[in-house]
Amino acid sequence: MRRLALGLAALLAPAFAHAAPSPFGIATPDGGGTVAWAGPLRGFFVWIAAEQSSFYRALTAALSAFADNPHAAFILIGLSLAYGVFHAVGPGHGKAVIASYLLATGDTLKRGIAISFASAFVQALTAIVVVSIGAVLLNVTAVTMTRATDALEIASFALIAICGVWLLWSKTFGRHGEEAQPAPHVHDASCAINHGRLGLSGTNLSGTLGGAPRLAFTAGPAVAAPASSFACDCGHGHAPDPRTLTAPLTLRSAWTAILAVGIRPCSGAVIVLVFALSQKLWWVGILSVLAMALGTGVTVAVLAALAVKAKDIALQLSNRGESPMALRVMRGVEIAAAAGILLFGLAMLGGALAGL
Amino acid sequence: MLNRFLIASLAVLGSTLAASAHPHVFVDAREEIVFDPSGKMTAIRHVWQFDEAFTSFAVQGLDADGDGKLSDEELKPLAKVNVESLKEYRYFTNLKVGTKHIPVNPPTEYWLDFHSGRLTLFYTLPLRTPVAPGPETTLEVFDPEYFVAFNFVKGHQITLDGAPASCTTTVRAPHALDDATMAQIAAIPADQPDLPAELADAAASLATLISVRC
Repeated sequence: MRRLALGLAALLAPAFAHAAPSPFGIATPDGGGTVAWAGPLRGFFVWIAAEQSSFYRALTAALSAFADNPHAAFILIGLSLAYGVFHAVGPGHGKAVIASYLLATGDTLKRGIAISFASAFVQALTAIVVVSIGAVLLNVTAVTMTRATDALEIASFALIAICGVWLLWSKTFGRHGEEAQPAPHVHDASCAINHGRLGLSGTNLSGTLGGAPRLAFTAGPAVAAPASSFACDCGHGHAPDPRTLTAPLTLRSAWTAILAVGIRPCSGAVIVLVFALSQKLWWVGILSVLAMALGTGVTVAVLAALAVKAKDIALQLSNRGESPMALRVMRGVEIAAAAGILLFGLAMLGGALAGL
Repeated sequence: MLNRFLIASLAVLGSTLAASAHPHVFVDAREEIVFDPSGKMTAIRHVWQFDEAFTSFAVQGLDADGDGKLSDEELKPLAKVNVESLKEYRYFTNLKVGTKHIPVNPPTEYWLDFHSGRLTLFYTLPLRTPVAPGPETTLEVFDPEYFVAFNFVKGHQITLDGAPASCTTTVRAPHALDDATMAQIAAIPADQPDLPAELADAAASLATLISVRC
């Protein structure tokens, strides 16, 4: 298995030799899958790219006008929100990972939405942490900060691959052989230990089912723990378990997926923050980036909802038949989604490492 | 069978994973072509002024002595990183005589200037061998990936330095391409320097096209 993974990485390395270099040596372009560029919606994505560009320019202009015009706050927040929405509509791997994760785990709609917002806010927080440490505390150069975000990007790809491995493992060899018996599943002992031990490495997320997700963050660098201790998901139930609907929702089981997506800050957010800092508008910059995250969360949540709904409909159709064949098809979709996450993670990781 | 399937799916994955298009660097560009006394082109000079936001990021932490100003010494390492990184992108520069692409050497002359909140990168790309401009010479400065958005300073798009008096220049603004072609171009990975033939012409019309006739 490991040899296969290594082989895949080696195979991919040449194709991704320069997956995400930076033309000026600072601020790496936001890498990601642009599958959609080639699809039938490409006209739409071209339009999105143009919108992103104009919102970004308007946003930075509003930021530089801020000192003279305190009312610019509302304009700035509005623009940041809109930019977040448009930025996320464009192709990107974060959404693909979250959608595939939801397909593979069969998480509920509310969980899907909570995961989407959590990943967007983790991404904003990573940008804020990087600039807080890099620019505010240590006053390092843009080159150093770019190296930090590149390292985080590699961590993100590794987490995606690990998430894929874990999902694939639990789908194929895990406790899901009993899928035909819809008994409420119970965490096994090792899973409980994982939950207890790992937590979220400095980033604790929790949400409630009723109303908007409640996110509680504890500051601190989201530094990854040793890879051996990662767990993506503890094999949570597939059909919505009534108990999970009433119990307080914890996002803990999805933390690898959230971190995988959120640990790599967007170059735009980092630039906006440093720009705000240079204008002595640090808090305004943070506000703007948080508004961007809210906008991004909205878009990702819509996509997540689509993924969850598509699966629900398929599930309903197959349940009506109750046939073992239908169940097998569902299982196939889950395994394919998990395999997709793994392959994607390996592909991006191979490319990023080859580009070093 | 399985292996072949894996390789095929990875190839598809690989071909579709171009870096995505989020423009975060906005450049106001001025271009110059340098001629020798015999009327051959010898170099391209780029003058690229960055937008305020990218500038603030670029100069972060560079004011080593904390005097609030950026000296040439303080900017030097960044200028070096800039031009060295640009090599991989072929300096976003495509000089052609007729249909022939003219190769350039890495710049030896380059510097950054910081003035009223904006950074300007000056650098000279020597042509590998001096070349006569021929009936039609074109210069494009363009990032097909849209990470860098180039805008040309009106009235200063192109200057000819030491050119024969008969030389004239024209600047053609980018054509509004149909969306499908634009998306195809945007989907090409940055590390693929040569566009497929059918897209090369389309890409040329997406970039501002500077023409020199002598």
